[in-house]
Amino acid sequence: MTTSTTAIRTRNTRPTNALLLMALRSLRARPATQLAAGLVLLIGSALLTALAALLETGLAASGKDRTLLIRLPAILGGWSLLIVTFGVVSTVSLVVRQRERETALLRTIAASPRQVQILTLVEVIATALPAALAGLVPGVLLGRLLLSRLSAAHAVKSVSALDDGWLTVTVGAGVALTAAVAGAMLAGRRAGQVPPVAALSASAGVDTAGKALTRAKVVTGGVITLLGLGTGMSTLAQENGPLLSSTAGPAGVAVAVGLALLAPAAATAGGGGLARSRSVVMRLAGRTLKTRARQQGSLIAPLTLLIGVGSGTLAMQRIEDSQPATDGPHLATVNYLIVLAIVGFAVVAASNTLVAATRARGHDFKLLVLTGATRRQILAVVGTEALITTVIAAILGGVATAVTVLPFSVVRTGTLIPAQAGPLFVLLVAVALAITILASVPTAVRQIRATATQ
Amino acid sequence: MSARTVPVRQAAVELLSVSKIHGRDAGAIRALDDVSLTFDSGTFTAVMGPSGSGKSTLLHCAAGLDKPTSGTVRIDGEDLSRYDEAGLTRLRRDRIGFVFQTFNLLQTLTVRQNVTLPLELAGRRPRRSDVDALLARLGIEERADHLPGELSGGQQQRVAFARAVLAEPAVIFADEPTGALDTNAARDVLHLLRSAVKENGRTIVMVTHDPNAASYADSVIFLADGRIVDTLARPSAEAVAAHMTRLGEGVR
Ligand SMILES: Nc1ncnc2c1ncn2[C@@H]1O[C@H](COP(=O)(O)OP(=O)(O)OP(=O)(O)O)[C@@H](O)[C@H]1O
Ligand SMILES: [Mg+2]
Repeated sequence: MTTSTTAIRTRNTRPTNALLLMALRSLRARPATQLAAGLVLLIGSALLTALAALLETGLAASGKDRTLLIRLPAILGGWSLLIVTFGVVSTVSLVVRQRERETALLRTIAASPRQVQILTLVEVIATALPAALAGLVPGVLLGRLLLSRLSAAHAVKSVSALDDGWLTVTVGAGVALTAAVAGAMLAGRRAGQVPPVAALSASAGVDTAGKALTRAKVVTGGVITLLGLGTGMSTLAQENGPLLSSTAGPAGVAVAVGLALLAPAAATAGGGGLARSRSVVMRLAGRTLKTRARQQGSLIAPLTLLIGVGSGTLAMQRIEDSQPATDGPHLATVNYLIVLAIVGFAVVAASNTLVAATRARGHDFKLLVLTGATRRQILAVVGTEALITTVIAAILGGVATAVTVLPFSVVRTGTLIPAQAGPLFVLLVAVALAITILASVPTAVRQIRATATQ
Repeated sequence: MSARTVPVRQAAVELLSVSKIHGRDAGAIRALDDVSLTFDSGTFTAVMGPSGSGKSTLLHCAAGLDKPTSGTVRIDGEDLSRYDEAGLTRLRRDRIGFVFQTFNLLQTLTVRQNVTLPLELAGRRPRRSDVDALLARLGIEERADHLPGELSGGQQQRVAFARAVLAEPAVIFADEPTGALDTNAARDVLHLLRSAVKENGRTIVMVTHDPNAASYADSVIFLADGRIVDTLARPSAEAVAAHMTRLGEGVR
């Protein structure tokens, strides 16, 4: 075997070709992740398309129909926009972050930070474009459904067909796509800054590097939370009428999104508290929570959104349903659909993070087995982590729920804590717990089993 | 460029009083402590030392993957501190090849695509026949269109080596390239490295824990606590092992 060689002959080519090839290859290699991210985008795009179609219909209508069909999507559109943007951006950054090691390897051998950014962008657009376009179809169907519900309730009288033109397409698919591209540029910039040595450290994959919370996140999270709290307070000043939910809903969403951005800080605090516990399982779980605060944050975030927005919106709707003769029923379908979209997003985002994170810890589990931990202890640690994560999300989500429900209930019914809120909150916390346990414990069992057979 | 045309030894890599401190404050660790050395063009150098002595850190700093806290690193006479990230990337593409213990290859690309990637990212596409010829010399031509996951560890390491030499770099850095291989596969890879130096005038710097692997090199540098404590020319495996034992005792 010798390597004696004449010089390699090359001709000039465009580096983009290599980047495109790599993007396609890596998309094909991770169908599950791409599907999950695409699904989040599709749901978001569908939701916005439906609202945009109503708006476009309203703009073309006249009289009372016009007022209602413009006002309704305007009220709902704002917070749907916030949720969809948050959901899409965080999903994209998750997908990019899962490949940190591969990115670092690329940086080591050949790719400049810029090329890494381009690669990220190409990959995201390749998934996001079809997903956003595909969302138009269910979106228009959803718009039709909403319109027919409004007609059936005699809220809309003269309009019979949905006007789904360019505005609908542009807003529906455009917003979701823009959010994805913005997310890709942010995540790509970060990916470009991954130090090449990160590919080479023995324990990479269990990434503990990087700050848990960037200053930008603290500021954005803080501002959005405060805005939400302010909006919540302003609900109290509103008169009891059909517009009440137009401040109560967005207030809770904003608080949930703001706190979700601050979630890593909550993970650090919670982990720090547990690390002093008497029980060894609690201590181990607490330490993991603290050292992996950043990843735990991206897990707590969708769960916070699920619990906060889910129980807030549903409780508001239940109160509305129990009230005689209001505008409520028109909005019911929309509100339920929004909750459904959020549940879908939370399930996809949280399980995606958890499965990947648990898988990356296979090596840790092996070490724990070798150092004398029993299988039960490891599963107990994983289960405890799931429980603590859910508890933190429940606290943050509980605040968001309160911001939506309490002022709304005071104005609408005169009672501070409505009977409907408690059970719904518990239900959504149970859903969150089910997601975390189902996504982590079976994965851990598989990891440990793989260790045992080696 | 071949060994015959380089009668006067030139420095491929130079380190001048390089120190590297990882972490800061109470957690700071001085991984390299005022290291000065030169890797001449056309030489094969092994770097040895106890675990944690700073071997990998030395390699990373020398290759521009990590920035030294103080001191100067020159590759082919170019001072690395004058480059930004994009510039360092270009420098790595043109002048440096890497082979690491594991996680060498992009799992989603075929062998051929992995090998040509650095050149293509630099805007140059190598001729297919040239690439095939290189793969054939390394005995992996039949696997050219397979994914890395379908190759043995030794074969993967040869792919990494093909990628490292394709751009004809000034220096190849290898961090425990045989660490994950069995004796036979390790021997193949070591032969490959040595013949690249002897027959093509390449420059190789290899970190290893294995005295036998080190014996393939022209000389061995011993590190302890971030300092160069010894060197050995034309090493035999026995002499290297004896040195390592002494070092181990000295540290304790
Ligand atoms: N990123 C880092 N942060 C903090 N300390 C580090 C980092 N990388 C290395 N170190 C420390 O620097 C010292 C030298 O590490 P290095 O990886 O260079 O050792 P090594 O000689 O390659 O060891 P091994 O043979 O075990 O690979 C060690 O004490 C290590 O703990
Ligand atoms: Mg090392």
